[in-house]
Amino acid sequence: MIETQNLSKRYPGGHQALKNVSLSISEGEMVFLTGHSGAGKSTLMKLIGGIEKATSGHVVINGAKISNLSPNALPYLRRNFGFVFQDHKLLMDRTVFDNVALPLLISGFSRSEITKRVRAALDKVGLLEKERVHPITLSGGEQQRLCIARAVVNKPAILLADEPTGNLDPGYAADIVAMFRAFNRVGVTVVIATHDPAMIEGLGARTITLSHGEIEL
Amino acid sequence: MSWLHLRTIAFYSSVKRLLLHPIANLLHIMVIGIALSIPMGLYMLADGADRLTRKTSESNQLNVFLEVSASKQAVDEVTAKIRTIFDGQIEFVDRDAGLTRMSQRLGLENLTNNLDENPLPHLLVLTPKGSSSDELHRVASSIKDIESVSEVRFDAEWARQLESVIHLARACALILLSFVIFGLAATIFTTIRLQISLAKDEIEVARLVGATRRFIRRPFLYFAFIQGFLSGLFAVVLILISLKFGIPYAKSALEITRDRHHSTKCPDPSQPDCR
Repeated sequence: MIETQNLSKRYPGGHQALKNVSLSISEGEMVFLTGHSGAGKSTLMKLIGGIEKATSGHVVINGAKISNLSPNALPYLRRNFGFVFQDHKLLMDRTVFDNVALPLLISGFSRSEITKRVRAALDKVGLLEKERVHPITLSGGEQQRLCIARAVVNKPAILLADEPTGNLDPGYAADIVAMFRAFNRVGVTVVIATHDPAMIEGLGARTITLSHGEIEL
Repeated sequence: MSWLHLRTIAFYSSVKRLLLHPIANLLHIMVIGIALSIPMGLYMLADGADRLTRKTSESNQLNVFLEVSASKQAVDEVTAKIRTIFDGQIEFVDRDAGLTRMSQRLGLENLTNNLDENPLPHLLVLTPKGSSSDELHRVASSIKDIESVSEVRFDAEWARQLESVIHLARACALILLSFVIFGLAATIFTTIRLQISLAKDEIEVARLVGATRRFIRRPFLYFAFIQGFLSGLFAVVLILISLKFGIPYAKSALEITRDRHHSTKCPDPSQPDCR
């Protein structure tokens, strides 16, 4: 489902973030991406999600090389992904409901369908009773759950989470891991980048470790 | 996902954006509207004045003003001299009749009482037989040399002068309009850039969750369209208001100008030229 072939990324200024990374993640798998800070986890996530372009190598999603996609086709590819960001990237001037509704609005769903799906997503992360408030009033853990709701509202095939528990205390972090497991159980491919060993422990999921931009075997 | 649905979303989103900062956007619309209305109004004013004067400028009469001191006998002598070189109609307008007429037209009933003596000269109005004014132009210079004649003026000369001023005003309006259009394009461009920078986070998130470039661009285009439309509407309303209140003034000003020239030769208000 997700494949990278000799993927390299060099940022302007010479920093080599990734070197010849080749990996393969099959459909319905749950994979952790670990490594020290600056190992290239975030870069790899961005390349897989088509947010950044690789310097060399390819990312293949469902058999299609995303580097071959035209800029106009890329947005449609992104709709297959759900992104969870460490800094949430929520819109603070919109309500919780409107934040989650955004991907559906972009995909052109009808109002009634949007309402139905947003409520379902908010219910899954336990924020249904807060749909009318603004995200700024939510706690860090709630904001992260809101970000997850927005990521899954489109029913994506792949969920990419970059440091989803980065700023959270362990209690919240466990909740969020449980949520990802639940999505994985219904068939969603989940890739989680984390430097938090506690998160991976006891889940029995595959772990890919990056070190200085290379896969550590 | 329907074509109309996506556009409706963009439309609502741009209206929402407009209403997010209502005062600022209203001021912006007013600024653009006022800037647009100035050249537009000037052009319309010039156009209207042009139409008002065009009729008058077509009449081809020659006004021969005698010296103020000229006696009735001098008038007869001048008339006889003109007869030798001009075979059209010659109409005599007495200076006292001219003064009475002028004071009536200007609404200054006691003008005659306040003046020690009549400042107006006698007037001879020459109308050629044909419609062409070539003959008038030909005789005008010779008439000017006749004794007791102080000034020879074409009846429609003031209108022709006004017409040239109007043409100038119209050209200025067009130049001004082109400048304003450039200025407005820059202003609207800046507004949209401001809107985009205000919505930076929103655009980033929208792109991340799969918005196409068009989806992101559309609300801003609609925003500019709505803003431009409302500004244009505001400019039209401004012009209509100023026309409603301005036209009576403009008309009376024009009539006074015309009267200054006509009053001296209109002893009989029933004549078509003596409105």
